[in-house]
Amino acid sequence: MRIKKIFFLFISVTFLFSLTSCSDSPSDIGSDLLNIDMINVKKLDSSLDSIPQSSNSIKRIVPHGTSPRLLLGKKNNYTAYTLISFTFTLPDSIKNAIKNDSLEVIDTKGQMNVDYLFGDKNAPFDFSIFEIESFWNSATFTADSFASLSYSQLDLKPNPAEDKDSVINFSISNTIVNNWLKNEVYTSLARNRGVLLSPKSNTDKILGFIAFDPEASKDVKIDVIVRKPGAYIDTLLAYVLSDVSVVVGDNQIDSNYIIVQSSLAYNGVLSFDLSSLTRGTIVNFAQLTLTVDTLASKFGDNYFNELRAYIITSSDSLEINESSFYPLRRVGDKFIGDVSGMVRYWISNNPNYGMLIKPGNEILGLDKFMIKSSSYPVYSDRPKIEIIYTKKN
Amino acid sequence: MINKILLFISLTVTLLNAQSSSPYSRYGIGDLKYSFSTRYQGLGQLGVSLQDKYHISTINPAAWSNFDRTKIEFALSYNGVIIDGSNDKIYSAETEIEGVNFGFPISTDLGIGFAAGLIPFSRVSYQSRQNFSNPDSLIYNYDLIFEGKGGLSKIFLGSSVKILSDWSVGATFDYYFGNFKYLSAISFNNQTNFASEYNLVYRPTGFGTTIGILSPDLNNFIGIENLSNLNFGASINYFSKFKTDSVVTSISSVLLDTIAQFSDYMELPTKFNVGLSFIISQRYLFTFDYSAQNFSEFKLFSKSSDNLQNSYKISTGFEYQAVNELSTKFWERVLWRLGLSYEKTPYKFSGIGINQYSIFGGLSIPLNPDNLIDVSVQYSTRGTKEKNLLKEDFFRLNLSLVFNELWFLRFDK
Repeated sequence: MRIKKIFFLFISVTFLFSLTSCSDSPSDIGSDLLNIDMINVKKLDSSLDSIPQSSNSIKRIVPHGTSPRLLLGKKNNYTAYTLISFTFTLPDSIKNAIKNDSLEVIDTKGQMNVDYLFGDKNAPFDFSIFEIESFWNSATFTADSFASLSYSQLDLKPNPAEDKDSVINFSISNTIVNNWLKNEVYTSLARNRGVLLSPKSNTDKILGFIAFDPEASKDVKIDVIVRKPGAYIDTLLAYVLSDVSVVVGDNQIDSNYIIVQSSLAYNGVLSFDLSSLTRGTIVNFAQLTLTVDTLASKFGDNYFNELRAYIITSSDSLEINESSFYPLRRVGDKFIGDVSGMVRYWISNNPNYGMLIKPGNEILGLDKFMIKSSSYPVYSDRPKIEIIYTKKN
Repeated sequence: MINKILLFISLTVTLLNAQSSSPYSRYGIGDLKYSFSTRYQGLGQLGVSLQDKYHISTINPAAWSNFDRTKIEFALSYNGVIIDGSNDKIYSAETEIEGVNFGFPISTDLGIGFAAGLIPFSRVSYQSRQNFSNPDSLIYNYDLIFEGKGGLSKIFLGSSVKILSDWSVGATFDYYFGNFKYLSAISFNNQTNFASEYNLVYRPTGFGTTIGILSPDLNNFIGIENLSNLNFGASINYFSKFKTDSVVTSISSVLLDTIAQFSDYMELPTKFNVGLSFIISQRYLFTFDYSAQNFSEFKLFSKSSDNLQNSYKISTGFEYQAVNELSTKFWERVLWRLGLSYEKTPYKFSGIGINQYSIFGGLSIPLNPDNLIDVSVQYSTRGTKEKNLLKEDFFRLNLSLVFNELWFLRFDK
């Protein structure tokens, strides 16, 4: 019992000691004596520290099957084509009529809702419709695939397209629509591989249309008016089964610019020699600044005004991790973004193959960002990386 | 059970305490701990020649030959320091558990005593924070933080024996282990920049020994009246090379990177201690001690430090007991102590050695004839404000609990 009391007293005093241990906030007193562990905050500025850098533009093939927008038209060196296949939901009475070959298509009224304009609004716009003869798949169809696409040379659109502000009206050959109806009942009766919408030579703008969207129902549609002689006249709806657009064309490469363009699709490759940042360096912050030439750049009437930087993980194929990107926001004529993680990646013993600069959305328009490159004559307008880092002495 | 809970709470709170700050402790192995026992603290921290049947001397194992009881000693200390720089002054404090020792006699006739314990050997503790402003908007303002903590600890076990003419010798087998953590960090005052942290950690481990000798009462040969317990003592503290693992890591955001990792040796210089003590009129104990360690020979990874010098400590102590421990009056059984010491610390900066002057006081409060609570206070001042150095004033309160029991002892029927 006595020992317990003593022990309790000892513990109590210990506790009291503990509670009375207090300190002023640490100050800089004695810091001069601790220079042995000194660390310094430094800044590496590519525009001041003469860090070697290089840049170029590359054209990549990007599938557009998932794009919410279809492009069609022609502007400068770019030609946008759209491939669409339609389908129907038919009642049994119509199906029976088709089987009996007693249904005839008497008219068609197609409608496309415009949601994007690249070029002058008042510029001419028209297109042809050709029947596609070869198989295509919207998920994998690209500009490269277009060269081998087989289609009939017979224009199935008898009348010029009607360009009404935000809607394009068109008609299409009754014959082909009739074939689609037959195909809907028996695939052996007729073929339905869709149609190619190809801009006519006088077209001087590219329009964007709402692509297949079962929710919004503003995608391309065709009202088909059918008649069973002596019985009825009915209107059927041909709606999109599958669609994709491709843009064919090239840009004149100018070494003073990095071309970053959606859909076509041009990307920039940019690299800085950061070998001066050795292992053990802690990157506190890194900022990339790109200067855009606003006169040389071309944009549609609405576009995603953002660029994205990706770490290139393989030099051969310019492989990137699509889900990991560094957004570069527009500020005046600059695109600025935090690329700290990217720099940290490079100085952590990973190879520095540079970064890939892509548009904020590369399947949505034709917007072309002309970024002043690593060889741009005005040094201060070249791509700039600023790295705040800490280094132990 | 309640005791265990209280002990746990106490230890937890202790571990959470603020660090005491002495930037000098960044060098060498930090501030040296000379003595564990609060009694020895009160006598100027050494007491090499003391014959002590109540306490366990950790400086001279030969003193264990006087054990007549099993003893357990717990100690803790409260350390406060006022650091005075050129432009500023701060106070910081912390509480430390100083360790635990136990010992028992194996043969009182042969002077064979055994003791073991876990005690701190040195201590590193400092914190500093400097604020910098930078006109660059990407850097802005930031704090540079230095922090050090850790130290070297010792587990020992050893024995004593009486040899010819009642001279006692003792030796311990010591195992040293430590953890020295030196942090340098940058913390930015904006939301965008990630903080930086560099951690340098040394983990030395190694063996050593303390060998001591203690004379019998030399007054038996001299025969001076009213003089007793004239003892001479000496000990040597030898260290093997301590294998030391070193790791340097950098931490930023989620990245922990081991920048360097290597192993080599820490070489601690041998420590020598000598002392003389005597009692006058059965009441007045005087001690005179000297301890030296050539820290200029200290090497870490084969490198010596320009900031270390040979150190020594001279101390003297006085203890008074009104009557003796068998008195029925409480205050007549209390032992009062006073100590003084001068220490040339191992630290040296810009050619200026850091010297420390200390005054000690203490008392032993008997709980019963066998058990004591020892209390000591210490005031020390060291350093200078010259050349941007620091003047430090320490206030230290030590408390230990000493149990002397008849455990483990066999008596002839």
